[in-house]
Formats: sequence, structure tokens, C-alpha cells
Amino acid sequence: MPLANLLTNAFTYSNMLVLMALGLTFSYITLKVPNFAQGDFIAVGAYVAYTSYVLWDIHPYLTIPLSFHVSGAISLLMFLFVFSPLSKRGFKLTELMIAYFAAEMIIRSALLIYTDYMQSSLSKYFSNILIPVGQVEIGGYEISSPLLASFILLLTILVSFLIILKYTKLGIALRAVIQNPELGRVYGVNVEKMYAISWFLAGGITGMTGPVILTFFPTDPNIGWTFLIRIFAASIVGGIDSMLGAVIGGYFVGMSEVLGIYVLSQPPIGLQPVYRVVIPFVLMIAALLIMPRGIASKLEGISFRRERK
Amino acid sequence: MSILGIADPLRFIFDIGGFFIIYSMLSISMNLDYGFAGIPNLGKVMYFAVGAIVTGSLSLRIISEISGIPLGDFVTQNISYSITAGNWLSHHPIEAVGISLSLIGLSSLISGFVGILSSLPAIRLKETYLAITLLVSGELVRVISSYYAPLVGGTVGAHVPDFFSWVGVGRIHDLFLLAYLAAFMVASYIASRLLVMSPFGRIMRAHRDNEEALMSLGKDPVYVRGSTLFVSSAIAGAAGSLYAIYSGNVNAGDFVPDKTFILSLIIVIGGMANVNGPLVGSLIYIVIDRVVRQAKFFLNVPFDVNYLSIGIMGVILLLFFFFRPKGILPEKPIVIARNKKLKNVSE
Repeated sequence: MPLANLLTNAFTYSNMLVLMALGLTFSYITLKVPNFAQGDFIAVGAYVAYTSYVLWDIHPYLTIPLSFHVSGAISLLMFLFVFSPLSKRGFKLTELMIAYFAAEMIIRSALLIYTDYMQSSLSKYFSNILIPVGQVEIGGYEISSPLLASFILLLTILVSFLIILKYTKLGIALRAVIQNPELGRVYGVNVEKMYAISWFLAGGITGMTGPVILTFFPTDPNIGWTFLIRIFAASIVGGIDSMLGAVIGGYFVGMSEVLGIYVLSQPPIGLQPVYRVVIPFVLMIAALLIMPRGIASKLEGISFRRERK
Repeated sequence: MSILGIADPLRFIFDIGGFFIIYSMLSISMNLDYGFAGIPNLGKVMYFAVGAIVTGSLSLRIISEISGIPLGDFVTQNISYSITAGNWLSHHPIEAVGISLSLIGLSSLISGFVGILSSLPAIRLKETYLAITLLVSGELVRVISSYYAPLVGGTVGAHVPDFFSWVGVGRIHDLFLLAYLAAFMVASYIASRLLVMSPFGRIMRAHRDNEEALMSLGKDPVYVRGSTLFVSSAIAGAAGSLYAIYSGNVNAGDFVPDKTFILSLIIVIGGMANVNGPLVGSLIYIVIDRVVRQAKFFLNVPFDVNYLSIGIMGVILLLFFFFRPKGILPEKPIVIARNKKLKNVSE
């Protein structure tokens, strides 16, 4: 049934985008600069899963926690050794963006070398990879595994974040630092530590999507750039500095892209599906012109936004 | 004769020379935007791509119109037609120079207008959002032009005929081509120097340093951004056109955001907001890049050395940020000495 397939695709894709946009939000709220390396954590997560699959035959979804920690650790190292020192030296936004770009290239270069090396030493494909996982049967319905996995992942993340941010001391400190670093410092919160946690989460959440992406979308070390446009679009449409915005934006952009290109590729217009990247781009430009702070900024009092001048 | 795995040293110098000229022009353009006017132009590769795409898609079509030799289907015929066109150009030197000059002019004009167009979102957008918009626009140009085959042949690319086939073949031909490219580089260098030293150059630096102060003096920042982007994008467009003529092939897939990053690297190495910075930076970048590429003849590693080059460039940039953030040639106050008295005061 084509409609069921279409919806499966749209939901899996949107769930992934929500998680990626959530990752971007966590790194954005610290230094107020969007991280270009965000897309590469998807590739890091995917290759962690693929390596375990090839070497030890482990199901990709079982390596999700490992992907979370590996990409989170890389993100944390980037923050501690590159961005935190640079921002303390008074580097401006654009310079920080160029530094992000440099970090992105270092990660991508390492991934490309790693895949090339593994491919030649194991003589197995390490580029353009996809692990088919098939379907699971629940109550007489066949549900695609990536869809189920992405829903479970998204719900777990959202619920645990709501609990952590609302009811734990750590969560309250994190929110305080995001809303007003100076006041947080006055109350004795270790701002630097909170930023480091935020960066770990930023890398980790995006990296978690890697194993799911691996079972859903052909993956190679350059996949970061493929998704980066969509991540930025989702974040900006929803509101880059809000977690609620990531959820709204991820769904809005993901659904518009998958359903939109389906409609546009039908007979009356007959656009080729390769042009689907135009949809998130147009949405992003429209959002920037109409409401640069995103949909979430219109929903006052719900999101944990930092008030800016 | 073989030095360090280089079969023909003259050919090697020719290769380096061409890329040096193109990268210098692009980084001069980047320096005007980012170094002097403070516009975070992370989509610089877009203007380069526009120049190359205009030249790649129009060169054979224009020659077909003028020479009267039918082109046929552009996508499938452009490889064989570029040889036919090259033969025709070898007997028509005046047409060859005329067509190439007008292609370069047209490319740089179109690219300049794309520059003005992309300054429009800047009216409302702050630094980060503007940078994202420009970066994403560059990616969009790359994706669309590499899928839309009639433009520049899609993923296969489009060929550009040899505009210097009338000079002859071999070294004299290469020398002529290089001199032709160098003339444009010198022109853009002089243009950037004059622009920076002019009153408008002062406004550009004021725009970078303090936009509010600029506005309080009655200058319009939107106008400053628009004009700066027009000039810089025109230079980048000319570089794109020259690249197409020099390499004889345009592949839209080549215009990846990495190129923009390399240009930022070049101006960070050379020295931001220093007119000579781009030249020094380009030279250093090209030397490092070629050394890494030559290294594959000595190193026996189980991966593509070009991948290593990407990472090395990232590391170099971070090292410069940490240890020499002002680059090799730091920005100097520009002294315009109209008379001797003023010069003495400044000394």
C-alpha cells in the first residue's frame, strides 16, 4: 500500500530530524553559534553501529547506547579543547563558525580515512551502506522496524528530558544556565560544567540517530552535509534555541519534505524526486523572513528560551 | 626527468600557477567580504560556481551560434563538440579572445547580481543566520545544477573549448593561458587595493567594526553590504569563469562548501583585512596541498591521501586560531599619504 509506505517514510524521517534538531539546539544554546559538525555525528553514530555489525554481527539498534556515548564524547572533546578556549579568548561568532567548520573537516577526514582503511583491510563495503532490518508484527499489523525504533528512541529521549529538566537539580541548573548564565553563576552553578554536559548531549542525541539512519537511508561519511541543510531548516523553522521548537520544526520540515515531494512528483507537476532538498530550503528562507525566531517563539511560556535583546 | 614524483616540472609549475591565480582571486573576494566589511560570507563557493556554470553552459552554445556549426544535444554532444569548437577557434583568434572576454565579463556580472540578491536577506538577518543562509544557498546551487543536466551537463559535467588553440600547442600555449589568467588576477588585486584605500574602503571597515556608529554618520549599512557583495562576487564570478576556461571542464558537483572553508583558511593564514594576505595565504595553501598530494608517492598507506589533506587543513586552521589569530601579515592601519606632511605625521 503506497500510502502506508509514504507515511512510514515521513514519520521515520521526521522523528530522526527532531532528534538531530534537538542535538543542534543543545550545542546552540551554549555559545549561540550553530555547529556545522552536527551532521557528522550522524555518520559517527552510523559507523559505530556498522563496525559492530560487520565485526561482531551485532544488530544496529543494540549499538544505539554506544553510538550515543562515542559521538557525545567527540562532541565533548571538541568543546573542551577547541571551542571553550576559543570563546574565552574572545573569538567572535563568525570566527567560531569557521572553527566549527574546521572541526567538521577533521571529523569527516578521520571518518573517510577510517572507512577507506576498513574497506581495504576487511574487503567489505564501508561506503553507501544500508542494513535492511525488515518489519515487525504488532497486533496483526506489519510495522517497519526503523519507524518503530525511531518512535521509541524519540519518546525515550523526550520523556527522560522532561523528567530530568523538570525534577532534577541538574536539569534545573541546566535550564538556569541556558536562560541566564550570569545569574546561574551567581547562584553557584558551574556554568562551564553545564555547557560541557550540554555539548555531550548535543553530540550524543545526534549520534543516536546514526544506527537508525543506517537501516533507513544509504549512509556514507559525507552524510553529515546531506542532513545539515535539513537540520538547520528544522531548527530555524521551529526556533533554534528551544527544545519544543526542535520537535515542531523537525516534524514540520520532515513531513513537508516527504509528503511535499510526493505531491510535486505526481503527474500535474512531475518534478524529479532529487529536488526534494529545495523544500527544507524554501521553508527555512520563509521562516527567516517571516519569523526568524521560529514557531516556538510564538508559543510563549512553554519553551525554555533565553530572553535576548 | 623526475623530481619528487613530478614527471614534468614545467607542467607542475603551470598547474600550481593556475590554481594559485584562481585561489588568489577567490580569497581576495573573501577578504573584501569577511576581512574588510565583516560580512560572514560562508557561501563564497556559490559565486565561484555561478561564474563557472555561466561559462560552462554558454561557451559552446555561443560558439555554435557564431561559427554556424550545429551543436545538437548539449548534454550528450558537449565533449565531442568542445574539440570541434577548439579546432574552429584555432583559425579564429579574434573570435576566441572576444568570446572568452565576453564570457568572463558576463559571468562576473551575473555573479555580481547574485551577490546583490544575497545581500537582501542580510537586511533583516543577524550574523549567524546570514551565514547559514549563504552556506545553504551555496549547497542549493550545487545540488540543483548537478541534477539539472541541460545547464552544465549534470553529474557528468560540461566541457569548455580551448580558447588558446590558435597560439599553438605545448609550452607556449600554457604560457599564454597562464598570462591571460594572471592579467585578471593582477587586475582584481589592484581593484581590491584601490577599493580598500578609497573612502568606501573606510566605510567597509566601519561597517565591520561598528554598524551603529556607521548608521549614526548617515551611512546605510544595507547599501554597504550590497555594494561590497557586488564587487566581491564579481571577482569570484570572474575566477569561476577563468577556472572553467583553464580546466576545460565544469562539474557542478565540485563546488562543495569545503572550498569556502579553504578560502577562510587562506585569509586566516595570510592575514585578515590585509590586501597582501590572500596572495601569501594562497601560496602557502597550495604548497601544503601539493606536498600532501605528492606524499602519496612516498607513503604507502591503505587510504586515499586526499582525505588526509582535508583533516590537515582543519588542524592548520585551528593552530592558526590558537597561536597566530592575526595571520602571517596582520592588518595594518592604511595610510593614504597625499602629501609629505601627512606622511611625516604618520611616521
